[in-house]
Amino acid sequence: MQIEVEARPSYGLAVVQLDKGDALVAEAGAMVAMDPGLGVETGFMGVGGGGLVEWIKAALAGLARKFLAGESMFVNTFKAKTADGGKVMLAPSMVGDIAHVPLDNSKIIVQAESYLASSPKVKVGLIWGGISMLFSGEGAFFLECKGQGDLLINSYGAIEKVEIDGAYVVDTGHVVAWEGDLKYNLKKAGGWKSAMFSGEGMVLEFKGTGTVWLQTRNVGSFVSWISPFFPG
Amino acid sequence: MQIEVNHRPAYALATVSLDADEIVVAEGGAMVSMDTHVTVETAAAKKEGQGLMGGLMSGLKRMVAGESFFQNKFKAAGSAGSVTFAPKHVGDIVSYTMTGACGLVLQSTAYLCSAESVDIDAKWGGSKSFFGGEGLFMLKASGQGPIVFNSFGAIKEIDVTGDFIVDNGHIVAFEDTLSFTNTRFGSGFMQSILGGEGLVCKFSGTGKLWIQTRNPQGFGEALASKLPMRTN
Repeated sequence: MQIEVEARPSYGLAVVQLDKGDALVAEAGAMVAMDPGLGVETGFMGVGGGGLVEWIKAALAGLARKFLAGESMFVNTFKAKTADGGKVMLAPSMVGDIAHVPLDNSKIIVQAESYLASSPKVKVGLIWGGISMLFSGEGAFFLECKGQGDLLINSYGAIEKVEIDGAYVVDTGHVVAWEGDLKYNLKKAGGWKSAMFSGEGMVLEFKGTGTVWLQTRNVGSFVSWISPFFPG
Repeated sequence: MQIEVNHRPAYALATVSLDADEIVVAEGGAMVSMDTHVTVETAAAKKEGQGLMGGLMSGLKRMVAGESFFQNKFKAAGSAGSVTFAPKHVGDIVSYTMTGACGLVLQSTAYLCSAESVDIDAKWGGSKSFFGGEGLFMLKASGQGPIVFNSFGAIKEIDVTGDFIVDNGHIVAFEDTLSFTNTRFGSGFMQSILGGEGLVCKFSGTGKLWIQTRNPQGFGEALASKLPMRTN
């Protein structure tokens, strides 16, 4: 499988070449164009022919993804069945960037709306960010992606990769993903006074060694900036 | 006529340099700037040999197609001059030269400007097959000379040989040497209802195809879900 990302950072498009036997799982609705020779299956993420119990577990996870994390309930799996393989192009709904993150038996936590696609061997599960995340304004659930293979994440604005060694603070609305070994903690930016008046709200404080991916714009801030300009 | 496109892909601007007394025809509202001696004539789009009624009728058809009723004709009166054009929304612009060898089918909102020698037909019969779901209406350009079109997102040019599938919301333009059929995504009930892709178009043959890396409808839905409730 070869993955190239074009039109960065405003309108990222992932062009994925699948060789025979390759498969890619993508968020429902993300397909822009494809070779007709590719097979497509629609279903809940993570059903690998494991029988009824597996199916029910995956269906519950799908429901949770939809209602708790604001993601779509279904995923499409694109499969190259012929010797020629085939190409599929993917893009998110929002304007912004796409990053390709290879996983090597590692774990990455992704803000739910930033998930675009992954290899079938990458397990994607829903994790509870902790009670404090209910106050983050960004949703209390994250997607945990772990295993071996490729992961595509998307953002609003450009994606900036930051290597952390020690501690680092990111506004909750600008977090896209982070490596799973980093510890995180939701905090106010400064004291209560600055939380209320600085315009910074809540932040995530990361500790340890690893990578954080952040987005250079924040949808919530954009919406509050543009709303006063709507007529009526 | 020379056409230069700058600031791709997010905020593309087309600069059209005209020889003395040369004319460029443009979508109403597309002009950004121009030399002071360039004259502007506004007319309902009409074909050679049509009377006033014919012009009004083809103007109405263009309006149904989602384009403006009126087109503007910019003429570099007496000496060379230039005019710049931009679409209403953020996105990309591509300039294409029609050689007369084939026609060009354009998604109706993709039209930006063209030479006078290019004929734009809004009642192209093939358009009917694009109705449904995405509310697409197509224009057909024929003749010779440059035509400029725009997109939401970046434009990617694809040389089709054989078959290729594109989500209807991502089609910008294609050469009419390609044949097409509108079809449902995937082969079964699951994909078409739950796969989140709606209608797709299957192109066959040999020719150029331009796709946009974002889908206006998908973007509208993604952004609308974040907007505050209207109070009035």
